[in-house]
Amino acid sequence: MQTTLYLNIPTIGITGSFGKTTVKEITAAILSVKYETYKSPKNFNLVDQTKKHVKNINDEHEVVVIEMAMSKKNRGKRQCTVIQPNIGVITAVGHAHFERFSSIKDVALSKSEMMKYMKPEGTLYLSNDDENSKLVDTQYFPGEIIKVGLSEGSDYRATNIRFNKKGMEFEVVLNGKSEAMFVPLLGEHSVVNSLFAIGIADKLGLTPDEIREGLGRVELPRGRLTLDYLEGNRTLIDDSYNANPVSMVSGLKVLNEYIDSPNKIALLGDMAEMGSYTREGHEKVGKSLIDFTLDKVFLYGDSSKWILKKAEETGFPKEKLFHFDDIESLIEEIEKSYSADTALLVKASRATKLDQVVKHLLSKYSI
Amino acid sequence: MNYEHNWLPELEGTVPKEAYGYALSNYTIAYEAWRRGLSITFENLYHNKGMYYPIYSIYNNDNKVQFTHTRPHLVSKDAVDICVNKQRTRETLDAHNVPVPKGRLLKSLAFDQVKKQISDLSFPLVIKPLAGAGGRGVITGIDSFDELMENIQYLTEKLNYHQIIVEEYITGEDYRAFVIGDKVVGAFRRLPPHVIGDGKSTIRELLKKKNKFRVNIPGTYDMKVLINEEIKRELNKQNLTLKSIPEKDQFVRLKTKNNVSSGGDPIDATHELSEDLKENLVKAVQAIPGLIQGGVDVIYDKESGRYAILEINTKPSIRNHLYPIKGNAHEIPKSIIDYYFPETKGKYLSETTPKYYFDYSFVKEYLQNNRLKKFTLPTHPYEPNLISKLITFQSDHELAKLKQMIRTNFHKLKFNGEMNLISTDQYEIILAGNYQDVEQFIDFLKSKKFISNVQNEHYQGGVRVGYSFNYKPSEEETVTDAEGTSSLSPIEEKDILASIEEKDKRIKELENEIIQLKNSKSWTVTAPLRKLSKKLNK
Repeated sequence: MQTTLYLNIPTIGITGSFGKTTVKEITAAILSVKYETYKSPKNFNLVDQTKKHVKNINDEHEVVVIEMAMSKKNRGKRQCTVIQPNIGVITAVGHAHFERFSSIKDVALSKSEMMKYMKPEGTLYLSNDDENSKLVDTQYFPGEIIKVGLSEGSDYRATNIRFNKKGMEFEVVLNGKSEAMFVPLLGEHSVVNSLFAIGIADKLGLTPDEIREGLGRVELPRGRLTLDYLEGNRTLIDDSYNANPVSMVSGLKVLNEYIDSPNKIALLGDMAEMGSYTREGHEKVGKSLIDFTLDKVFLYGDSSKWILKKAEETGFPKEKLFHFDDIESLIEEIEKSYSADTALLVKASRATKLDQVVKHLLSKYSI
Repeated sequence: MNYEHNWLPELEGTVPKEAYGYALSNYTIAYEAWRRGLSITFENLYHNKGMYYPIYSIYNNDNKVQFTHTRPHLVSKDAVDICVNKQRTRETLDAHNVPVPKGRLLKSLAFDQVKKQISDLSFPLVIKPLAGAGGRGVITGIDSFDELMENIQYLTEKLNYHQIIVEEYITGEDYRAFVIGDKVVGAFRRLPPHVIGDGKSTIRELLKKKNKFRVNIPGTYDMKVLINEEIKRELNKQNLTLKSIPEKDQFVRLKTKNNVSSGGDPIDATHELSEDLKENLVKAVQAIPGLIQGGVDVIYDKESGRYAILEINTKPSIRNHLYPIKGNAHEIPKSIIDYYFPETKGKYLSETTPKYYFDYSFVKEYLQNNRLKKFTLPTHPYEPNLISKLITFQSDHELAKLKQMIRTNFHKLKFNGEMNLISTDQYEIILAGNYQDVEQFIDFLKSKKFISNVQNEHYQGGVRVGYSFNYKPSEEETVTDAEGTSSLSPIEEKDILASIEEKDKRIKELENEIIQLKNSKSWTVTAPLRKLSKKLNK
């Protein structure tokens, strides 16, 4: 039996239904400006992987940043029994891995294990924007609670959010002074994710300049809403690695609001691991389509038929919707539509394997 | 009695009463393993002496060691065979140049033969049965041949021993050392059963006081010094009786034998052993093929440094190492688990959790009565943020409902501990659990209309794993009970009344069932048959 690793250096545990890896990456990028930082590799977030961190963390490290999945009951407890965080982050409470839960309250309970098993005198970061995060009942948590978000009343709040060609610009108040920030990632959710990291860094004594420096260095692996400018003024937003209804709508928003291109196409694939929420989740996306100005929407996979149906029902023009069950004909059709001066968003769970489409387009149009 | 002693802090509040006495060895070894996260299974074994006794296994995914008392099954049968035979032990040790007393097994007990056999031994002599245990039949300080024959006769006729060893008496004191691998982990010396005068009390009174003291020590809990012929004889030798009043600080020896089980006092003597002796103690254990560990008896004269090893016990009790009446306890269980499970060395789950311990009444009640063949302990609770609290409250709510409510919460919140009924409406709860759950539970209790005066405090004592309900009247009430009040306490009365009520209710239910049955169709249909059978019976 392995005994718990209680570290007396900042030990940041990051959980949540989505955004864990991104928050981890941003946090580590910023903190490593000032501190020797241990960061959990890739998206390693299971208990057995946490056990490996124990072996890899050494005396040189001044800060530890690890992603911890709490995607079923007791997993959070087990995570914190391996390494107890003294700074906890719950990025969001959503419908990821919903096949294992009976209700969103259940999900909140499972994410709450971070609050219950992290250091009681530690600091817990929560989203102030996410409605479901309010289900985390903090009445018996004696530590400090910090809320971040775009909404009013957040302890760290982003304002004046703008997109420039490479990422998001926004302002945040640090030490009573408004500071301009830039993160080379797309979408409002990337701004919220950055706020977690900024809050943590600020509390750990990094200066606004140090935070800016780290934030500018953030690099995410391909497929997590990464942006490519291709031949013939083509733009590709690759978000084919992970998907849930919230991030899918958020991706569409990026395409719609931030990308400057004469033509806009979205390719949306199935979202996996949502259990009983599958239909409702896809319908939610379908319903949102009407809010965006898009030239074409390609849909791929079984569950995405729910998107199709709901979009039609809610008045999205039928002639702009194309559904495919077969990857080859999908690629063929996408290629035809992806002409010069077009922006394309590719979004799905990785189980849907839309990275094949991305690969194909990259090989064809990379500059 | 105010001897100074340092016992092991981890055993404070974690040894249940049922594990006192002989069971201490089993309990403390299992406990040491358990608090390192190892699994423990107890099992009963039928002994040909006509009793069930517990054996236990300690294991993890990679390793499993089964123990009989303190002896792991890794100790070879040959080693055990040699050690139960004191003569073979002597020969084996002697062959390895380990100092042993000069002596032999008497091949014949006839007068002339004995004389011949002891011709090269010098008085004083000691005799003992070849396969005795616990000091039974050991007679020391034999000064003449006549005395020798007299005692041989006593052993054969009174104690029914026919294989007798005679050896030279070595001056010194009795020591028992626990050896494992290449280490002497601890040693104690036995003071013979004695009392120390206070200038006022009689020997009988002093002995009574001493026994009262002994029963409160887990190690000597079941070893009262009983007044018998041996004591009277020994006192007689000193021109004393049980009514004599010894002077203040006078040491009055009560028996010649030193064994703790016959009333001797264990005193830590680890520091008294010379390096040379320690080497030979280890060598003694290593001389017996396949032994690994053992309790080595040695006569040692501190002044001259001379010693001789008498015998090796393959499953020595370790309680005297743990609860010496004077001096420091030695961590025998730790050394045992370190030896067989080296990868768990120093890895205590108990270091960051409340003081959990496990029940031992299961072994006494269920295993040793063969009501259970085998059972496995729940693993030592382990997670961050566990705390322990003592909660008290008052309630005159129906006991059964209250018990049910608390138990449900214990299970739901994964608490460990107990609920105790202190007096008619006074309860205490000792629990350990996640600090947020505990706070929530306290608020829950406070929210109940039928519960009042909820108090809680940080608790540092032992917390028994699982849940139990106990009736634990406060000290004062126990004292009144002990003074012989035969009437029932109000609470017992309440309990009995409740159980009578319960029975009445049950009987009514059964009566109703019978009425319903009689009205049922099948009963009516079979009526002629019943009449017929009645007639036939007549």
